[in-house]
Formats: sequence, C-alpha cells, structure tokens
Amino acid sequence: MPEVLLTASITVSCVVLLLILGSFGYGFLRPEAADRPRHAVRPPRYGPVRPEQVAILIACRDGAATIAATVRAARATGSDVYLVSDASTDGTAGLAESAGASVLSLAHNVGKPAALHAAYANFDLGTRYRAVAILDDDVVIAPDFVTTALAKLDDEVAIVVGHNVTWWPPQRRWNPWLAKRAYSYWMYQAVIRRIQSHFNVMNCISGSNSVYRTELLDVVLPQQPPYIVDDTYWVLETHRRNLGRVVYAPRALAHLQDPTNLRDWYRQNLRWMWGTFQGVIGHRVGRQASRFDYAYGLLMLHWLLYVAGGPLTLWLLASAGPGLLPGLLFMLAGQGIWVTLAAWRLRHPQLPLFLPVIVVADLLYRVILVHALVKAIRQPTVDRCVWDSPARIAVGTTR
Amino acid sequence: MSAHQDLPLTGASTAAVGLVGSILLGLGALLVTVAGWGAKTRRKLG
Repeated sequence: MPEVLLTASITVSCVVLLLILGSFGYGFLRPEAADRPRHAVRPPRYGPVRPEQVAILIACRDGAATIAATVRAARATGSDVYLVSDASTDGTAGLAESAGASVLSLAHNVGKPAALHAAYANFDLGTRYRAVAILDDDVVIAPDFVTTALAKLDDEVAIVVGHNVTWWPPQRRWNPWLAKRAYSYWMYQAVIRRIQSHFNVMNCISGSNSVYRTELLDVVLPQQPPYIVDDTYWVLETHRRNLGRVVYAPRALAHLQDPTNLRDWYRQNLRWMWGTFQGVIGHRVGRQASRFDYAYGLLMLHWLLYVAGGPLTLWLLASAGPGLLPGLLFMLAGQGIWVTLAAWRLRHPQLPLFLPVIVVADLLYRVILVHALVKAIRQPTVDRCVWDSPARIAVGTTR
Repeated sequence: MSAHQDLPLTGASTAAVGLVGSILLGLGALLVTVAGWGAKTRRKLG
C-alpha cells in the first residue's frame, strides 16, 4: 500500500510539473494567445421589457381536462394569452377561447415546436411583444409569474426559467410518483439549477414555464429541433450562438402536472434524457474551451459516478463494513434528512413516508440513464419533434 | 418539458464531482497564470 501511494504521488507531481512547464512554454512561444482576454465574447445587450410587452403562448393538443384552468391562471397575470391547438379533437380550442385566449387551431398534428412557431408567426408576436412566456397546457402559473420573471430579465438575459412545483392535490396525496417528482424538482432547483444559473451554464430549462425574449425566439423558433426535447435544443443554441444569459427565477411559480404511474414516469424521463444525450452529441458538448462545456463535463461526470456509484455502494456495503442491512439503513437515514427538508419546504408532511419509493426510483433512474444513452447513440436526431404526454389529471375532479 | 430534472443528487457522487471540479479549476487557473508568466518573459527578452 505505501508503495502504491508513493508511486501515485510521484506520478501526479510529475504530470503537474510537466503541465506547468508546458504552460510556460506555450505562453513563451505564443504570447499573443496567452494574453487573449478569456471572456472576449460578451453576450448581446437587450432593452428593458415592461409587463404589458409580454405575451403568453400555450401549445396544446387534446388538453380539454386542464386548458381552462391554465388559460385562466395565465390571464390572471394581466398578459395577453395566445393558444395554438395542435389538431385537438376534444374541444380544447373552444374551452381556451371561452377562458379568454386568442386561439389558432391547426388542422394537422405538427408537434409542439412547429405549433409554437405557427402561432408565433400567425399572431405576429415577434413584432407586437418584447418577450413571450411559453407554457404547457397543464401548467398553472402564479398571478405574479410574469412580473417576477421580468425582475430577472436584465439586459444580458435571454431566457428566464420559472420555478417548477409538482401539482400534488390532496386527492392524489398517496401517489408515489408525484411524491418522487415533487422531491426531485425541489432538490434539483435548490442545488443544481441555482448554481447553473449563477454561472450561466444551465443545460436544461423548463420548456413548460419559461420567458423568452422575442429576439431569441426569432432565431430559434423557425428551426425544426432535431432532438426529441425542443427546449434542450433552444438552450444549447442560446449558449452556442451566444444569444444571451439563461437564468432561473425561483420566485416565478408554476404548478405542473407530472406522471402518476411507473410507465409514464419511465417514458417521460427516458424522453428527457434521450433529448439531453442527443444535445450532447449534436451540439458537440465538451469540444470547446468554454465555461459551459466545462460545467457540462462536470455534470456528465456526475452522471457517470451516479450510475456506477449505486451498484458499487451496494456491493461495498454487502462485502465490507457493518453489512448490507445496517449500511442501507444508514444511507436511508442520510436521504431521509433531505426528504424531510423537502417535506418542510414543500409543505407536504407525508413526503418522508415515501422514502423507500424514492430510494427504489433512484436506483431505477440509473437504468433510464443507460437506456437513454443507448437510444441517443442509435438515434441521435429525430425528423419530427413529436411525442405523447403523460395522462393528465382533470383540474377540479376528485379522482 | 425539460431534461434530467428527476436526477437525484446523491451525496458521494455530488461531493466527488465538486472535489474534481475544484481541483480542475484550480489547476486550470494555475496553468493560465503560468502561461501569462511565459508570455511576460518573452516580451522582456524580446
């Protein structure tokens, strides 16, 4: 063991010394490159946006169960609300119109990004407004969503991402998949999204509740996203084309409907991660010397450690230390602290009771990651960005 | 909707990434500084 440590420390020291010598030599041979400002490319400067210069755009396909509540909540912000019905057959358009939205009905199902573009062009949103909040048809935003998001839209910002909260009604209080998602959203936004927002390295946004400058939408909306997640494409284009900062607004609240069964949960996560890996491949993440690529590299390292770490931890617990059962209980206790914290913050006191489900779903998520990676390698692009959403809970029912 | 928001943060892997990230950032800052010294030396000699 001492020999191994000695060899390792000598090797690492030699590598670091060589790197230092190499850097000095690089600076000596190419002084103009070494002196180049590191952040020479500044994001564009945009003008201020007032609340009345914001429109809300909703894409919807067969969303009759939820659309009226979504439109009413959007109208409560004071903004003009536009809706595109993507060949709905269930009366969505009529319900949205009655609730106060201006509606465009498409005859053929074209998928969310194409439908959004059709409505954006049809209602001339790019010239009539300075920013557009794009919502999903099952999202209920807070009355101050627009003003709270605008507070974050400074002159360098192109996208403001709202705060996701799982809609977890009392009638579904014992649904384990809603519990899992409520906890995951809270954890993700409390840690990763805040850090990514601070350093402008956000790699995924909430396509269901974000505010975009029209200058950005003019560029990204006409393109047909080659990935299965449209907003993943938009955020990668924003970074790669230097179209502005992407920031998170933790006080811009939006309640979302999430999957309520294992099948829908698996399929939705698989699509999200498939789209994520498509973005990594298609936008050549990690091939440029940028802060975004560096941060994304660390995130991918996290995924790798996460996938390998689960089985490795189980094996270590089983083969060494106090044994599998005490080890698992110890890990459960650690996770329990976070879940209890989430229960307090989300005001869902029943959340800690779902701890075993959260741990099992956590193990299952590793399968999804690997599945999605294989899927992305086999199918790195899609011809049409079209998918089926999970089943929705009708707002106001007590199922 | 958006991607990988269901990915949980587990203690060990998150801490490991934080550690590796900090080390890499520190090393990167050191190398950039040393390259600046190389450029400065060249200008002094030239």
